[in-house]
Amino acid sequence: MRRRRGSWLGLTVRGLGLLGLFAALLGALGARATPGFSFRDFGNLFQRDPAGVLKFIENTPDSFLRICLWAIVGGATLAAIVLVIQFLMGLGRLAGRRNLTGSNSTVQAVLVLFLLIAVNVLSYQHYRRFDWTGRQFAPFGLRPPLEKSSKFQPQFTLPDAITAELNQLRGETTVVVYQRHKTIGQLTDKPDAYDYAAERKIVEKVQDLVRQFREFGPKCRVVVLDVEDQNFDDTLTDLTKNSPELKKAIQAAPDNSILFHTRRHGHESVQRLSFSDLYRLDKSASRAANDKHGNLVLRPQGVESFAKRVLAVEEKRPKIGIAVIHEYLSTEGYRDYSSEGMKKSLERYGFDVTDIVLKKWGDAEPTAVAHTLGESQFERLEEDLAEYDATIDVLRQELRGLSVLLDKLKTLSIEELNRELKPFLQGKQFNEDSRKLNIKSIEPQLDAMREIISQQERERADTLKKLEEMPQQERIAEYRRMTDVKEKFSKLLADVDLLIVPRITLRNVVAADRIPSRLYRLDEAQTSAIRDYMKSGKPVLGLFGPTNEPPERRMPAPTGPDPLETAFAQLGIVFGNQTILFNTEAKAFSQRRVNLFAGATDTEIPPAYFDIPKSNRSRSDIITEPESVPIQPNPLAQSLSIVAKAAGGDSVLPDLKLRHPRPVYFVPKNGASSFAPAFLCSHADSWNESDPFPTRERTPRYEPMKPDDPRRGTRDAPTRGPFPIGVAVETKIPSDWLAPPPSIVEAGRALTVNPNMPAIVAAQNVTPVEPAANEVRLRIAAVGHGDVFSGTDLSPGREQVLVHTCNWLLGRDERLPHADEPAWQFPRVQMSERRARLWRLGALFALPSAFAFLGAVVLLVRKYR
Amino acid sequence: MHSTLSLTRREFTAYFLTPVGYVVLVFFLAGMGVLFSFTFDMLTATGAQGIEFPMQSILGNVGFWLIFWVIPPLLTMRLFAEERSTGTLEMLLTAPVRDWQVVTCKFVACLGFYVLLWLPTLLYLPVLLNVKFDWHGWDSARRLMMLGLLTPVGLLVAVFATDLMRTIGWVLAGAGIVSVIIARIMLRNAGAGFWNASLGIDPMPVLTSFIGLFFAGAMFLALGMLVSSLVRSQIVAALLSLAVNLVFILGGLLVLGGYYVPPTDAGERGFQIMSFLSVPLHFSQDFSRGVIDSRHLLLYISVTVAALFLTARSLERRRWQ
Repeated sequence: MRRRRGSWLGLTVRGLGLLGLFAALLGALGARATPGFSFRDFGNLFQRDPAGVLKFIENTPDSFLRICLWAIVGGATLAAIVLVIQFLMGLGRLAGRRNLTGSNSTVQAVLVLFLLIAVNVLSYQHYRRFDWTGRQFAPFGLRPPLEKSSKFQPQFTLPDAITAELNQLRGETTVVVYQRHKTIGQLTDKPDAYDYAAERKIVEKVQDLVRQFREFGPKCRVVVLDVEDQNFDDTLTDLTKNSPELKKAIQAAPDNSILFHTRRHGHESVQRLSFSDLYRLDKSASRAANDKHGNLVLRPQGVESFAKRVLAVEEKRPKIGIAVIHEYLSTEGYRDYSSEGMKKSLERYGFDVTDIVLKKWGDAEPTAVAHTLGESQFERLEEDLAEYDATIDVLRQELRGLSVLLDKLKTLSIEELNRELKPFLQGKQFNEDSRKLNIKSIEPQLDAMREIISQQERERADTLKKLEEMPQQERIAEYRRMTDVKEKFSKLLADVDLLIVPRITLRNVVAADRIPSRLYRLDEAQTSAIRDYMKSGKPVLGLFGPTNEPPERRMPAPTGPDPLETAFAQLGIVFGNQTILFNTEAKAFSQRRVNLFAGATDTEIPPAYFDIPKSNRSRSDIITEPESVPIQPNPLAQSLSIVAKAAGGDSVLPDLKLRHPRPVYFVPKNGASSFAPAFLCSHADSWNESDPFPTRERTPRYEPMKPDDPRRGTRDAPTRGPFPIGVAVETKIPSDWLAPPPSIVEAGRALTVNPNMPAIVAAQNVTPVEPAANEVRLRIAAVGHGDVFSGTDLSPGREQVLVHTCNWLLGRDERLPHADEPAWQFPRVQMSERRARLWRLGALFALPSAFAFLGAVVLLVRKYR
Repeated sequence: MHSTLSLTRREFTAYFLTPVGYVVLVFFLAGMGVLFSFTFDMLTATGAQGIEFPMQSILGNVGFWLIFWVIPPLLTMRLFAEERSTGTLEMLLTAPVRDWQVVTCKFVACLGFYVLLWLPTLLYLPVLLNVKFDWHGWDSARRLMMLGLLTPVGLLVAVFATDLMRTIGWVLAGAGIVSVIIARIMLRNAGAGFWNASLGIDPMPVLTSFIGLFFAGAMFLALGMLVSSLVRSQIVAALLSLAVNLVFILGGLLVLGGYYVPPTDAGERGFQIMSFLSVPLHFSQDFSRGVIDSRHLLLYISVTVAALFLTARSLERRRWQ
């Protein structure tokens, strides 16, 4: 009976404990379902002030939540009391000999569980990962086990050098993997299966790489942002709450990107890397692979670029100066003429961009200056203000005159009016009717004039406000005090790492959409500043359109060649004097004679190539390059070809169609380039034309030279394409630049003006060939097209050309696409259709059937034995 | 030692004497056949489709983990629960063997059958490794090499037969090994291989996958054994094992099936714990791609050892109750 009572007591106690646990569970579920309640805050309150919890529950306004919290606290307390009672009862039982073994097992089990947890916590904190990919396994000691395989590459191991460097990393870098679901397909309008497959695979590869970097612990905090994630906006807000620069970079990222963010001493640094900077699709190779059945072929770009971003996240962003002749051509310029797209693209890829305006425009001819964009805008606003003042003055005078007239019409008699206004009446006479008529007509005129004046005053006030609100006014004022153009230009160039000089000239020869090339002409002071800039080894990218003008509109020729073209010529880059036209354009010109509304821009022209096609190389070499032409391919052309392959083209980007380009030649005078100078060429279906403007009388078309043509043997000899329209070379600074030059203009004239002189001969005649003691090498590039990078937005292909050209010019070769590493592709198993079917059916049916048969036999034997 | 071997053999052969073993084998191979077929399609695909790590296609598949979730409980449910329900456990416990010997024998037998399940899948390797054979015809060395097949036959006989046949089995197995060694020496002296096979796909992910599968399988079997030692009914044992295995499988299943998207900040503690415990994720991300992570192996080994220890304690406790 006593024992029974004890059993009932035990059952009751345990039942109460379970009831407490159940109540606590229900309370927790109810509290969890209540919006605004946080278990973390509740737990923190309990830790800080356990007694305060009761007060908190009592003060909770929501009765449902209050009940839930009481259930949690009450249930948990009850369960805890029961647990203590059970523990004490357990201790009593342990003391009994009968239960000793069972208790011993329980203690051992508890200890084992504790040990299990401890071991795994330790192993979690101190672990090693072994990448066995790309290794050979030699189990019988025939070779050292796990030696490196010559056939397969390790997939998940960072190079030792990078690992060592990352181990030295201090501070925390946040790595944001930003998936916009746009990688390779951006180069083409219609992404295909290869583009999508490449995107998926590259995302996977990037995640693998990021996982390896995550092994470096808190130094690399990795966050994945996916635009398809429903919580994307919230996550972005949380992530960038105190990091405006990171937010800006994420919003500006054009494609799937990895952003590296760090903050030191309150200063944010952000670097960006496209997924395609790690792997690039080679669509041409993809289509040709697997016996032309296709496979996905990617070109690995190495993990070094990724590691460098982590290691040098605080690296200074290169600054690019864009030197234009008018504010409308600047990065804040006018639509298709502006460099806005160039700025957007460059900033997206980690460059800073600044404008330099080289001309001051007034009523007379433009004058040479070197203004910042702000300064130029400031001056324009000042001029606008002066214009408003003058207009308002004139309007007020008119208003005064009309008011006096109206006053006279109203107050004077007819005789007095006829007398006073006699000079204006031209023999006519006023009467009462005409007086009333005039009063009636002048009054609205006065009202209109007052409205015009008030509008002009409002606009003046707006302009004044803009002027007063312009940023960096002190700096602008400081610059305005500088009157020496060369000194000022040099100062502006001092913190520029790369100078781009765009010269938009011929945009459409039919519609006369052009800017005369003579407007771009720089003066000697400006050129001298650029020359000094280049002497320090800093690179320049010239984007010079053709200089041809229509015969009827030719202005008086300026004296001598443009000094900047001359400076380029001294470095070996010589611009042709003609415009390249395509055969398709010739047809369009002919059609336009019949249909005046037809425009030349309607015709499709072939895109530019990133290399001279091999079959035409010899023809082009006759004029453009000497015998010692280097055979190494141009590194920029090679890189851009890899970019083009992602779009499925072989050295061609579909959106790089350059209308009316200009030939650009390289004449090696300061030592031959170590690689082919041309990186961009026109299609073979083209010719060089001295007069590219069609008229009713003349349609430009290719006409072979006559035998006695004086242009024969010169660069200006009309030939069929392809022509080099972009060159990128690494050359030495001429020694006469380092010493006081005898006459740069004279030298340049020999090269650029006199087309009768063969380029090579000209170069030999003019150029001093002795190298200077301290040789300065610089990278320089020129494209014979002014608006290749103009407009408010650059197409993806043009953006790639711009960014990689800038990277190459700045010596950031590691950022250029390359094909040094073996291509990655899916493994393929090739076999006949019959064998494939046998394998499939064998695996699906034959193998399981074999064991089913074996089982049936065994069971039958057992049954009948 | 003899008793241990006998007990192991008894447990191992028991799988072949009931339909359960064959049902498991057929069910498992049919499932693997389907997964292999998917992988095969990807390896022979045209265009932009493909698979970089063939084992990942199999072991990173939700279907595989559903099979893998069910197989260990089917193998372990009978180990102790059946003995307990039929009353043979008392006999076993009174036999002159220690508790840990009983547990070890049952575990080794069960693990042996689990390994046997996987052996037929080695037939997939010529495709999974894109092996190209260069066969130079039969010669004495290659004929001798083929005598190596005597080894598995001899081992089977040695395990399943008794007395004289068992001795013959051991002799056959030994003869097979000796013939392989001699043939290997002969081929090596001739500077030739058996068939001069060349691999088109990195074999290491296959090796690491099988290493992982061995230890993960051992863990699930040990857990199943522990559960089986605690209950009387086989069905309850199987269901409880399934529930326990969920701890190590559910998270991975949800991620692989796309039902759970990993958090944006991969350093989040909850996700880290889930990744640490989730066996499917270990395989889809590491083992099937040629990576061995000490955390995963230690987890499997430590849980296996702990579960075996607890099983032994469970038996011991029962002995004294």
